[in-house]
Amino acid sequence: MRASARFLGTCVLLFLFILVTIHAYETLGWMAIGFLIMGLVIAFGLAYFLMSSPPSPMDADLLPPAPPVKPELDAERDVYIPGRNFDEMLQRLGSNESLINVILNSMGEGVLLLNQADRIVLMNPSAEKILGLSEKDGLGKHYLEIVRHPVLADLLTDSKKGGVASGEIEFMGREERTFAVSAAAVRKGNEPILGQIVVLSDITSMKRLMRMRTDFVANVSHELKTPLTAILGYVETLLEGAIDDKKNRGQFLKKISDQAQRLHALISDVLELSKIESGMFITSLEPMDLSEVAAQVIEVLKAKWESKEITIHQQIPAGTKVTAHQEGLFHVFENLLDNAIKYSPEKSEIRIYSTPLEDGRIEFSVEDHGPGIPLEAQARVFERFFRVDASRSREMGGTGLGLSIVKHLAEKMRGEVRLKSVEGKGSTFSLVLSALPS
Amino acid sequence: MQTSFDDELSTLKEKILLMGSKVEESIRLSMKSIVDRDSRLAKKVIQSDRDINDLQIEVDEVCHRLLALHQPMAGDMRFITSAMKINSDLERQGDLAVNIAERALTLNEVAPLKPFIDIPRMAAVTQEMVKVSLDSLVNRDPKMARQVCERDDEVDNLNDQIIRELISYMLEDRANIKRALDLILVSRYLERIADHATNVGEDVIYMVEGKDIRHSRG
Repeated sequence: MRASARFLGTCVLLFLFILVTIHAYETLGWMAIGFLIMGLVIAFGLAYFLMSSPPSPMDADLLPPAPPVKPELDAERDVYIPGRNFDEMLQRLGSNESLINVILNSMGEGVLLLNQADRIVLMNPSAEKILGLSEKDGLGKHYLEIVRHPVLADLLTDSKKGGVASGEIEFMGREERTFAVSAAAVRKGNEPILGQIVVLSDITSMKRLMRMRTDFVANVSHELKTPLTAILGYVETLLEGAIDDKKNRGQFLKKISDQAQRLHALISDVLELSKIESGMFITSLEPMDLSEVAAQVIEVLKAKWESKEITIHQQIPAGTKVTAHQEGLFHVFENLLDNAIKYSPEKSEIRIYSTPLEDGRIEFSVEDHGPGIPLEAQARVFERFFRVDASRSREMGGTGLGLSIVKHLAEKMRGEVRLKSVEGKGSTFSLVLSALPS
Repeated sequence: MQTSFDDELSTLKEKILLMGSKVEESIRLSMKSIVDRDSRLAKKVIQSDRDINDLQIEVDEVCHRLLALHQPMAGDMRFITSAMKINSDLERQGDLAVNIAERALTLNEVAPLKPFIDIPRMAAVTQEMVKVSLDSLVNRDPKMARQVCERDDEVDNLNDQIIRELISYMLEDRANIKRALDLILVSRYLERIADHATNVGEDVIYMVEGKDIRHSRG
């Protein structure tokens, strides 16, 4: 494409030159022809310059291959600008060996390289950290002196046959830790094995999460099954003839209705908890008036506290603003006050108040005079299905998820929940939220 | 000749360590089987005892070969004789772990007698003693070995306490007797494992310092 354009350009210029030369000779004579030849040289130069301007993409196939890209360096600071390609990284790092060292030192997984005699010849910093060793402490030692675990011994025996062997090892200690381990033979092609490489990654937290999930599923299934068993029992009794027993059937139906309501409450709580956790419940935070929300909640629960003749002292100053989510805040308040009413003795008092904290946040509290929570249980009351006294909670009709929901909601509203309680005297549950100038 | 002697000594040490690792794991799994009520773990412990027994024979063979062919002296001699004693201590610990696993199989079949509090604590101390006794062997550290010997009393006290508590359960209700007896046995096995760990500690002290401290404590 470019060659043909140049040929055409040259022909046009030559034709023009001949025309101009004939005309000049007729009018000006031989001297003018000398000037014209000079002009011609300049014209050719100009033509060549124009033709060699950047080619169009279509010309790419005719271009010679591009020269290799050099690492981009900031001339003044000699700083490496992150990599164009692998070769460039190698060049920058000097050699293969140092690149491998850089990679090993940056890895989160622990890497051990063993020689044919099962002695450690290489250990990266993560491996030292995982195994609690000081620098270079393990080098030259037999792996069993460093990681005394039969599973690792079995994996290494397996991987010597070729291939990768992987498994999990658990370490006892102050806290149990679990590692995923993979062992592989190091060899070049079909040559004999040079040694073995072991990669350790800490999966303790993943294991803990899996255990939590299993426990949660087991708890939910148990909690769902209990009311269902009761319902089935009463239904069966009714079907077997108790339906004609005018004296007792009402009582049975009442029990079925109670248990069905308990099931309903539990399922709603589980669904709500998962909604809160997935972040679908609280999407935005806005300024809220704490005293207004308190008044609404007190009104909603009026039937409950009136029936126990409880006096509620609402001491939150009007216009106390916090950053929260309307439904979330209402829910936390409702849960805390509902608990306070449930556990308060009849004719007692519940106080609702707010305290500005030194860090600029606001703490609002619900204080009751119930049985209180023993010290050893205080850290656990926000756990799912944890109950200070299982039989009492069942009697009160709780699902075991209320405080867990409160804690999650508080966290999603960038706040926290606190608990102060003295056994036998009462409990104060508080929610701390960011304040807004009133 | 010397190289083959050194190689055999390394092999001996590695075999003892491999055996130690298997024993440690057996004790851990047998206790986990009781606490988590997971009988699969107990079965695994019972199966893996064969490996420990095989290793015991291998270690003995290496020791005999070393003694017969090389007539070792001083430190090497002490190492080999200690290895022979440690070998039988480890094998006994493995057997006791199997005993615990067998109790686990029975206990996991019935409802739990009570929440476990002291037994896991005793197991933790015992396992720590086994671990430190093997660490003292790896590092040839008599200071660590002495720590093991000192902790033996702690385990003995826990054992007494557990037995007292379980007897009270048996007095309360005859239906508890079988389960309480099983737990008393578990506690007793743990106490025996701790005793063997103490023996390993004493052997390490003899191996490194040439001092026999057996029966002279307290």
